[in-house]
Order: sequence, then structure tokens, then C-alpha cells
Amino acid sequence: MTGAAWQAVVSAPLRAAPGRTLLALLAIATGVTLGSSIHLINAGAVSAFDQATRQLAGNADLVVRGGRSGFDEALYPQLAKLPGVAAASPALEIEAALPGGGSLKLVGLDALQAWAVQPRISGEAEGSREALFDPQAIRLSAAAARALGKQTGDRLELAGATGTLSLRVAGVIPDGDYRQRLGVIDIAAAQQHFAAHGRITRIDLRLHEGVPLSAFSAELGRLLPAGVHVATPALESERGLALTRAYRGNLDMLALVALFTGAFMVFSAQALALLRRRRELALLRALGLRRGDILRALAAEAVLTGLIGGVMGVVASHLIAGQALRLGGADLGSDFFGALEVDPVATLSTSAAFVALGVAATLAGSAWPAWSAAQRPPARELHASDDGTASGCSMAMPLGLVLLMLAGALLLRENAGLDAAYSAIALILLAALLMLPALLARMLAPLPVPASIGTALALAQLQGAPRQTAISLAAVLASFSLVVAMLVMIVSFRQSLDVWLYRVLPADLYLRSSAAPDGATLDSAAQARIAAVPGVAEVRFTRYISVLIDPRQPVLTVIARDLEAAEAGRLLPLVSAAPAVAGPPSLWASEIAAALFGWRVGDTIRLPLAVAQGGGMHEFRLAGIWRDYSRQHGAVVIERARYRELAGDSTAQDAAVLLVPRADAAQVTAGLRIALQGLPGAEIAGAGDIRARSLRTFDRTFAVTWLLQAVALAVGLCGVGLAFGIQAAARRREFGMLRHLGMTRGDIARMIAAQGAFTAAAGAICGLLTGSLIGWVLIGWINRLSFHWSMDLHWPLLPLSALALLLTLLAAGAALIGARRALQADTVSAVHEDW
Amino acid sequence: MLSLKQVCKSHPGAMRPILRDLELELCAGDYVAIVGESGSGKSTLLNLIAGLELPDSGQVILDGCDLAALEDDARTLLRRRELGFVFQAFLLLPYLTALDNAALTLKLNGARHHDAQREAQALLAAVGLGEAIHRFPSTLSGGEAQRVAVARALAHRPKLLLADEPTGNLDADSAALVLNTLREQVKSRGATGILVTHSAVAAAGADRVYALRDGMLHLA
Repeated sequence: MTGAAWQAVVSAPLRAAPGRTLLALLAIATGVTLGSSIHLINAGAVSAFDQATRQLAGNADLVVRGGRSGFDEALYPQLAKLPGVAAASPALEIEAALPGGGSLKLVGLDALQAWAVQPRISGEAEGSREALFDPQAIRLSAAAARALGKQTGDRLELAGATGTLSLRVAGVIPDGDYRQRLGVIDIAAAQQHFAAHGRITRIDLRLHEGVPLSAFSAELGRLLPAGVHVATPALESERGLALTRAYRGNLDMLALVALFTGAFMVFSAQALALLRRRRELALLRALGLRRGDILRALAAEAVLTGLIGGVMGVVASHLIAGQALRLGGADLGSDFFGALEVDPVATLSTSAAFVALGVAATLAGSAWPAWSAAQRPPARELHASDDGTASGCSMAMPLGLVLLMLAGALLLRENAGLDAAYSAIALILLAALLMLPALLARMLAPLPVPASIGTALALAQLQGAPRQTAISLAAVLASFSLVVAMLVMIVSFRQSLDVWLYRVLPADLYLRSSAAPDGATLDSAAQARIAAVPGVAEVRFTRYISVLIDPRQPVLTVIARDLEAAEAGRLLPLVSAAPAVAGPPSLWASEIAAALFGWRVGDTIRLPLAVAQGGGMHEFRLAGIWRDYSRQHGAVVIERARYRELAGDSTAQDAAVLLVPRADAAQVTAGLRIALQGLPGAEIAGAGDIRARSLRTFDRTFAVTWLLQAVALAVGLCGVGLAFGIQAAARRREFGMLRHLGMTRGDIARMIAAQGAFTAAAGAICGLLTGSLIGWVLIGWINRLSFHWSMDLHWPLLPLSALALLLTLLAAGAALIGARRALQADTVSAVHEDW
Repeated sequence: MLSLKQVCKSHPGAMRPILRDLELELCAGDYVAIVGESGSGKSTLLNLIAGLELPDSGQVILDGCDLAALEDDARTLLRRRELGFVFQAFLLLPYLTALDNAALTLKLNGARHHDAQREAQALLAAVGLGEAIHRFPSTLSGGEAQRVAVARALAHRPKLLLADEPTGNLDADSAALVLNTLREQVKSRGATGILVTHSAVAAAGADRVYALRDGMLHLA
């Protein structure tokens, strides 16, 4: 490429109209900022989670773990004596309720053993050993101390199994030793305070040097009782992170929508600008510039724009990610990472990757317009009109249909994965863009001629140049389709959740013995007192047990409910069921559990239900699969009577209370509180309150997605404004002529606004169709493959119509803003302009 | 019909006024030509007559109205109603057929769609384009396009037609055809016509020819 080519094709036009390049730069920078910010936050959360898991394991090589209810501590001395084990540290992990709400993760450690395996969190590293010998003392991590406003010497109150505990803060674990919120207490004290006598949840093992890890691990696995597994700390971390992988992946994809839209904006701007400059480029070709010179100059412009936009975006993301973490937390509204203390994690390679994405998006947007501009024969182009009218491509419609069929084939393929689903979405979008000119022509052709001449001209211009209209719509169609798709998906999800909540909360009142999973339980006496409260017609109790079936999979929640097999169809939101047959007792798995463990209706499932009591595996038959939106780790329901019989445990944690007709719920609640005396952390709520709270949590989880969608839509609207600006500049002589013929500036402005509105309305209709199709893919494939739950499809007609109307109005405004400069200029003299 | 009295006009930054104490008096049915070199002020004069620009001093009186006394919107409405324009570059709307282009001024003046189409069709037939009414500008020759522009300029029966270098982009045969059409139609409709050109051949068909020199009009 020569300097002359660069000057004639890029730098001189850029100096004459810098706005177009500036907007493209900003769009790319915005897209990169969002994508990189979300990635920095997610990477920070992953790193913090991984670090916390490893710091808790200390210098252990292996972790032996059971479910939340743990296992018999007698296993500890057996493992400690094994040849090859240098040190073993038993631990009891507890999620303890705080009296003011919320909970704190506690780990009970044996001081003497923990000093060898977990010297940092046990106090060995900083010489404060004595704290773990005092049953009334607790060491808080610096993060927990900050969150709770405590320092050494203060008292901390926690809800124990039999009442409120008051522990002395004996020391603070520095951030460098453990970054997250944690309390460390003596293991015996933990067992006593939380009614876990003789029970532990993990044993951290440090092996002698030279002991082969995998061989030892395999051998150890054979020695462990049912429901207890061995894993490396890395696998522990991986298991926890696996739960969030789909959420993080989807959020990353969503954050890149703005960049995707930016690429389409670059496409619109470049295609229209080069169409407008077709005579100019033909002249340069006639003067001796080679086709390759033009192509290289335009490619260099794209690379430079992408590079600058990408660098701006990466720099901005580093500034924004920190603020977003402070304001929204590491979970960005979801509950995946809870109160994790996170710093954004940036690496040179990921920063470079995002800059490269910016360059790729700009190049992708510029490629076709640049190639097309370089290919046009100069002899013909020298005589072309300068209004930027584009000729149509007869292959676009069939090619679009082929892409749609390809998308269908990808989705319907057996074992279609997430990659296939995302590829199908990209193909649907590309197909929509290819088919847009033909669809616009078909949509606009039958419209009657409006009475107003300005509106009539606006419509006639669109009817006459559907391809040009389609080009100007590219960015907004892409972003609007994705907004519609997200709206269809989120509304479907919310509606399904609402219906599901009504289904799973049929009682009037719900009672929970403790806000924290390891809090107090309801013994038989408490259950009897609850049932005897005046106004109570019926009570159904629930017991939650967490079991570890596979160390690579999350802990499974077993829900032992007061229900009989015959009632399952009525009480559970079943999506599939097997006919009743004689054999093992029934079990109903959530869709997530069935997907994670590969279960099918009719399968025999083996569960370690009484690990703490040293029990073995118990067989169940999978009688049905139900929809569960509340436990993302997976859950199964069994009959509580069966559980009581197998595990000998008659305690419960939750109670669903049905009232007698016309009973006063407030009075019954007061009666229940009296019945629950001695359980300070107990909670009672009406079904309506729980439903409202759940929907609020849902809305908060999706808040960040709306923000990302709004930014993408704004970039799309900028694309409309930019496209109309370029077209208006190309139509200056037309406007000048209309001014001569007696149209006022206002008439022309109204004409452009009408054109913007017509364009956007047509685009909105296409966007609604495309978005609905993508929404269907999101519901049927992306969600199912990512989160393993199903939902019913709902078309939110009113919000979709309102959104389409809003887009139409905004696009009309964007068109006017874009055309403002051309309207303000001296259009009258433009009738004499040559170019 | 049209009266220009002591009209002066300068462009910002210019050393000398482009029009100086310019006088012109035209009656209904006059068809005159104004010739002048490039930069002599021909386009500025047309803009002043059309009310697209206002004189620094003097008066432009069109059909009894002093244009400087009217607001911009009122001047625009007057232009819409009473003036017709033919441009050197035709300036037909590429997305409208010849018929719709010709009907544009009628519709701008409030004619109903079908009435406007009927009137424009008759006029296109009169200028020899009865067979081309459904063709788009990109398929018309230069001469045909300019005759569509003439039909558009006259369709709403303006009192004054302003033609700015209407044959500047045409070959000799097409130019002759367009000039004949223009004169015939102006005369047959009783309108006043001003033809701005630097072609002596084009000017030859006018009733009177004025030369614009040193900012003033001289009868040639």
C-alpha cells in the first residue's frame, strides 16, 4: 500500500468526516469494555474461589469428604495411621446463622493436627496457637472481621443448635492467609455447639514425600465408607467452580453482544460510506490506484480502528471492573459467589485477546464493504449516482434460507452442545441480515401511499432502496433481535418460576428451623408442638440431607418429605414419571440431578443416606423427574417415612403448614413462634412472601443482563443514527432540490424522522421474528444445556410491542440526530454540487 | 409578475458585491434568458428570486409580495405554490418513477394522489414521455430525465419558472428538444420563464436576453 493510497482512501476522508470513525471506535471500545470487564470480574471470582479452597486445605495433598451431614469421626484415626500419611487434619464445616440475619462459614479444627496441615488458618503461622484450645474462642478471617465489624477481644454471637452462642474473637487471620469470610474454632467445641457429636465433614491428608498420589488415592477410595470420597484440593475447587461455569460462560457471551453489535455498526457505516464514495473510489482507480491498494488501505483503517478501540476498551474495563465489584459484588447479582471478596484478575494474554477481539470485530464489519468497494468496475462506477443506492443480490434470500436450515440441522443433531446452539444463533442472525432486504421489500411494497407528501417520500425512498435500508438496520437488527430473545427467555423463565412457586408452595405458612443449613433442627417434640398450634389443620415436615455421590459432581441435596408415592404427581412439578411398579422405594430427581448424574426414569439410584451413622448405600427407583429452580446443585425427593426408617433420623428442618378455614395467619404465626421457643434462628413466612422474595432474587439476578442488553441496543441505535447521517450527507442535493420545490426544513426533518420510524418499524418486525427464533434456541437449548432446567415458552406480547414501539421512536430520533448535520448545512447550494 | 429593485447582494468575505443595484421587471408570459460567465452571480440571482436568499438591500417583489417582508416558512409556501425549478443536474428522485417525480409538485401543493398522477401523466405525454411514465430515473437518458424535470417544474402551474443551466449536461440534440419543450410549455401555460445559461444557443430562443456583468443586468 502506498502513502498516496492511504491518504486518498483513508486519511483525507477521515479528516473530512471524523465522526463516523469516532463512533465506530467508541462502539468497538464499548463492546470490548463490557466483555473485558465481565471477564475480569469472573476471572477474579474464579481465582478467589480457587484460592480459598486451596488455603482451606493448607498443604494437604488429598481431601476426604462426605456430604454436608458429614461422616463418623472414627474414620479419622484409621486414615491417620495409614502408611504414607504424614499428617491428617479432621475438620467440621458448618454454615452458622448470625442472629441479625445471614450466615458465617465456620470450620472446626483439631489444633494439634491443623498446625501441621493448615498452619496459616489455624494460627500456627503467626504464633497464636492458644485460640484453638479455648471452646469459647473463635478466630475470624480479616474479611469476616471487617464484614461483622469485630476485632480481637470482641464477642461474636451465633445461632447454635440449642440457642445463641457468644464466642470471644481470639485473633484475626490476615488477608494473605485466607481472603474470604471464615471463622475457625476448636473442632470439639464445634461438634458440641452445633449438635454434631462424633461427626466430621472432611479430613485433610498430607502424604509423605514420594508417595504416589493417584495410586494412594485409588487405594484410599476403596477403604472409604459409602458416601465418603477422596479428592485432590484442585478437584475440590474444580467441583465448586463447575457449578458456575455455565453462568459465567453465558454472561461472557452476553457481554460480547455489544461488541457483536459494534461489528454490525462498523459494517453499516463502512458499507454506506463506501457506497457514497463509489465515484470517488472509481476515480482513484481510473487514476491508477490498484484494487489491492484500496483493499489494503481499508483493511489497515479497520485494523487501526479496532486496535485503538480495543486498547481503549481494555483500559476502561480495568477501571470499571473494580468499581463494578465494589457496587455489585463478584456474583454480579446472582447468588453463585455470595460474599466472595474478589479483585479483578487481569493477565497480559487476556488483555491482548480482547484487543484482538476488537480488531477482529472491526475487520469482520469492514471486510465485505471493503472487498465490494475494491471489486466494483471503475468505468461503470464513474457514472453511478452519488446517492449511495445499492443494487440487490439475488442470492441473498436463498443463502439466508440455507443458513436457517443449517442452524436447524445443528440444533436437531443428536447430542447438540452449547457450541452448536451458539453457532445456530449466529447463523440465524446472519440469515436474518441476508434476508432483510427481501423481507423489507415485501413488507413495504403493499403499504398505501400516505397522504402527507413527506411521509410518502420517506416510504417511497425505503421502497426504492430496501438493501440500503437493510444495511442501515444491520446493527440495530442484531442488538434488537438479541434483546427480544433475552426478553422472551427471561419472561418465559419468570412465568415458569411463578407457576412453579405456586406449585411447590401450596401451604399457607412455611417454617424453617434455622436460616443456615447447619442450624438447629426440629425434634419430634417440636414437631408435635407445631402440629398442635390452634388453627393448624395439617403440617408436612421436610428434612434435608446432603450427600456426595461423586467427588467430581456437586453435593446432592436429598429432600425427605412427608409425602406418599401416590401424591407425587400432585405435590411435585413432574415433567416425566414412570408407572408405579413393585421394587425399591420411589425417588424423584430434579431435572438438574438427572442431567448431572445421567439418570433416566426407571433407573435404580443408590444413595448413602446415613453416612454419619456409618450406614451403607440404599437403593431407590427413579419414579419421576421434576422441575426445580431453587437448587442448582441438583436434588432428589424421597418419602420422609422411608428416610426415618433407613437413617433413624426423625428430625426435620422445614414445615409446610396448612391452616383451618378462616384461621388468622398472624395468630397462628404467633402460636408457632411460641412452639418454636429455644430456636432463635427460626423463620416463619407466608407462601406469598416467599414467592415475592424469590421473584425479587430472580429480578436481581437478571439486572446485569438488562444493563448489557441496553448498552448493545444503544450501540445499535448509534448505528441507525450513523447510517442516516451518512445517507443524509449523500442526499444533500435531494434535500436542496426539495427546499427549492417548497419543502421547509421542518418538512424534510419530518420526512427523515418518518423514514427512521418506517425503517425501525420494519426492522422491529424482523427483529421480533428473529429474536423469537433465537429466544426459542435460548430456552430449548442454551438454558437446558447450561443449567439443565426446562421452562415453558411464553410470548410477552405487550412488552414486545412496547419495546418495538420504543425502538421505532428512538430510531426516528436517532435518524434525526444523525441527519442533523446535513440538514443544518446549506442544502440549497447543494443542488449545484458535482459530487 | 416579478420586480427586482436596486437589489444588492454580497457574499461573506467577498471583496465586491456579487449583485449591485440590480433591476429587473418581468410580466406574465415573458420568457427571458440570463447569460453570464461562471461566478457572475447567476445562481445567486435565482436564489434571490426564489426567496432562498434575501438581498442585502433592495426589493424582490414576486406576484405583489416583497419577499424580504415574509417569514422563511411563508416564502417557502410561496415558492411551493408559484415557482417551478429546472436544474442542470435534473435532480429527479431516484426512488420515484417518472410519473411520481412529475407529480411531486402537485402533491406538495395538496393535490390528491390520483388527481396528481392524472395531471402529471398528461403533462409527460405532452413532453413526449407518455411511454416512459413508469420508468425510474436511472433508466432514462439525460434528455428524457430533463423533460421529466420540466414536467415536474410545470405540473402545479407555477406563475414563474426558473431554469438553471437546464441543458448543461445534455448533448446538442437533447438540449434542443428540452429547450423547445421548455419554451412551449411555459408559453402554453401563460407562465413567466427565466432561463439562466451561458450557452448562446440556449439563450437564442428567449424573448429577451440579459447579460449579467459586474453585478448588473444588461439587455443584450
